[in-house]
Amino acid sequence: MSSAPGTEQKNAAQDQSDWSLLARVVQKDESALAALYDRYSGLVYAEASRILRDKGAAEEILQDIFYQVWRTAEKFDPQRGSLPGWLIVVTRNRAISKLRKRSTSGDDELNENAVACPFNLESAASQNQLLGRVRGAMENLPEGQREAIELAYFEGMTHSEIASKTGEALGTVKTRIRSALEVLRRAVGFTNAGGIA
Amino acid sequence: MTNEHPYREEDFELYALGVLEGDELRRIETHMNSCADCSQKIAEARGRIALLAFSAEPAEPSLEVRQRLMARIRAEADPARATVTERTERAPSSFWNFAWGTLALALAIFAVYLWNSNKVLQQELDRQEAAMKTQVALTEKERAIVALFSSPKTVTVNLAAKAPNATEPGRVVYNAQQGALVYVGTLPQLAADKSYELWVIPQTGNPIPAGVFSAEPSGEAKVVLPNIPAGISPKAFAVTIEPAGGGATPTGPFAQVGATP
Repeated sequence: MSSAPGTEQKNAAQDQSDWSLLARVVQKDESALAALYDRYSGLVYAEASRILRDKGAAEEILQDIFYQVWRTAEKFDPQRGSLPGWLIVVTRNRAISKLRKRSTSGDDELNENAVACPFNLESAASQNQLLGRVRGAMENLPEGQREAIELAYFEGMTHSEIASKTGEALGTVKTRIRSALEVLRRAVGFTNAGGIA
Repeated sequence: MTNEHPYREEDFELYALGVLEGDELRRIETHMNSCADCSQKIAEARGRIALLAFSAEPAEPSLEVRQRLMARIRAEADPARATVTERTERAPSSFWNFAWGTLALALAIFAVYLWNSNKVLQQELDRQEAAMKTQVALTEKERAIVALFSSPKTVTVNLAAKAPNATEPGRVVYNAQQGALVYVGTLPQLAADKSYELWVIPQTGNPIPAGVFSAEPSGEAKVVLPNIPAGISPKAFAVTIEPAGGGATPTGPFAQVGATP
């Protein structure tokens, strides 16, 4: 019996692009799914944990999402979107649905509602760099703007729900969220036209 | 209701963020269903909004999640095992007796082989699990160090040497909100019955221990992410010389000390 799965095979998978690994997942290559899991599980789990504040529930979502990748990898079109972008969006959708005890909106299919992410997140270094920039920008936001955008993103609240929770006027909430998005856009290098500065 | 293009990038971002409601939401959804350009802009907006996920505290799942996932996909792939059905009553024949006997012996040998293989696999799994735990721990520490050094609220405090106990300075990088700290310095090696100890000196109250350490033969000394409470606003940091193993309060002389700016 050979010493499976083998360190060399594992390292080779870690150097491959998302698309290469997804193509191997379509062929039911378990090591390719494991490599994608190792690459993005921290990101998915951190987001689910932040939303749900429940380790067990976050782990359940994490496992279910990667199991869906395993089952439906052939539906993913690299021309239409980014895998980590899709993982982040679906994690948020499912976690907020669980948090707010409502059914999912159906935005979970790999080939629908694509997510175009201009950053390459395939390495831990690039993820850490982006993490530093986003967290730095958030820490520098005025308290009201940070609170509003966090309620929107991590608790799935609408403008009026945020206004109700914070006691602020609806117009104030809308202005704060727009301002926060502008700051974040600049922090990660997006131009006003949506490209990269 | 008009079917006009949303005219600002932020409209797509607000939609992707999920804050729109009522007429604002219906207008953009109706338009998107018939406009390929705007569908693409929504995809790009989703990508930008998705970056907010990076503002969550870094966290790593337990190893068991990975194991359960892989077990789940393997269970799905395994074909159903054939069950051994009982032989129906029929006139015994020497041929069938021999055939079944041979099959039973082969199955017994195969069962022993599988048991042994399973034991080897389990040992390999245990070894890899231990390696992965180390790797996960390293990844968490790496993320914490990145978060410390990239935060605009992190401060650097220079510690002046206090002769005769030290002749070189030290430096502390500290973030009160994160409760994260890294110390680096150059110190002389101590006798075996002594240790250096780092302290966070708050504005009020007793000094807080922040790590017991020793200096390398080269003089290099460091403390990386000691277990200290978050939210402390220090007035100074200090390194003292304590009995081996350190203590809860400083008793020995200063080797280095520095006030926060």
